[in-house]
Amino acid sequence: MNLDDLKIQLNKKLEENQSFEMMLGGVSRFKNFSSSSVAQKIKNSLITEILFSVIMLLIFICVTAFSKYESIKIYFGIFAIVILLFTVLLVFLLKKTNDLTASSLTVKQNLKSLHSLLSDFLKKYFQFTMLLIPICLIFSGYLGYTDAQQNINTFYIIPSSVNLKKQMIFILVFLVLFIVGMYYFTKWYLKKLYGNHLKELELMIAQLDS
Amino acid sequence: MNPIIVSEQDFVTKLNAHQKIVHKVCNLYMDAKTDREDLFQEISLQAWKSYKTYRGESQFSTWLYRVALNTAITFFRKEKKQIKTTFSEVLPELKQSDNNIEEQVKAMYKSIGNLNNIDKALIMLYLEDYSYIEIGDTLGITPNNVAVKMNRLKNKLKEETEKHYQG
Repeated sequence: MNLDDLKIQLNKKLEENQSFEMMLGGVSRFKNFSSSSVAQKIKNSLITEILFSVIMLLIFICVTAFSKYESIKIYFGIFAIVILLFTVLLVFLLKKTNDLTASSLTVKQNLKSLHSLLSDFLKKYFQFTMLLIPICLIFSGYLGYTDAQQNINTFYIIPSSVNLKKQMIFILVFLVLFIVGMYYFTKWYLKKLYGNHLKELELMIAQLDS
Repeated sequence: MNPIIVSEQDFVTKLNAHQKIVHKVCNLYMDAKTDREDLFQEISLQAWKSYKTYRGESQFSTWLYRVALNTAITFFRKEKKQIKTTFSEVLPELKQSDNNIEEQVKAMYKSIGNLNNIDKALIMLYLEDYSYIEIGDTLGITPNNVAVKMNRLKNKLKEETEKHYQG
């Protein structure tokens, strides 16, 4: 027995065996349905990111406005601008994802568009986060140094009584741990949010190409 | 060409007339009843969203197949506590049948149910009597690739079905 021998029966059974009744009413019946597509998952993740960025933006603006330290004001003020730019990027990506909802492309084009959208976003997000680490560290170091030069009453993590060699070792260890930690945390975070979607899309494209 | 005015009534009428296509895709891609209902809603929603871009260049049924398959292939089951059903269990009337042909159909169903999402799409279009060119157009691959895949799939299904049938 092969597929062609059973073609008619199989087709008939697929049509006949509807174990649920779903006669369509108006569009309003499914308009409010909470979608489970990949595009919708990406949209949900992006909306979460946008909300989080807006909250962070508001916090950074408040710190900039109300801090009594000049260095803190400059630091948080500049990063508020960076977060604002990042939020704009996320909104742009959300719009691009919304435009992709037209699923009448071929199956392969649809999968490739979703894959390209997602992998581009992950690449840019990762690069952006990694770029922020040295900028953030250099910037905070410079502003801390400026405060110290100006004899501003600053909070010191390492007491000034500790000798210079020990201070340098502490800073070095802290920097290494911070950079490695951020690298792996960002990788884990992105994988958790989008990694499985990306893998499934890659697998399906490979299945189409094989 | 004049743009087609998107009418909700027009869309619902067309979708009602072709809802068998959506049912077939749901039956093929989802085991559990609740999942099939969710997929049905999802396909209807995606079809409505995409209908604004439908220019009538292809038949509505061909267009709907494309939307339905695109949606089913990338559909994520909602995390719900549900009783796990197998693909063949959605065919209750075949369960205790002594009819040889029906047993063979049941075995074939089981084998199709174990295929990956892309192969299921191929089988679905093949059962609809689409030509290799049309299948290629829907999936975005060449007719030659369709022919190779179909050949491979037919052999695989034959082997798997015989195993199920004998088992």
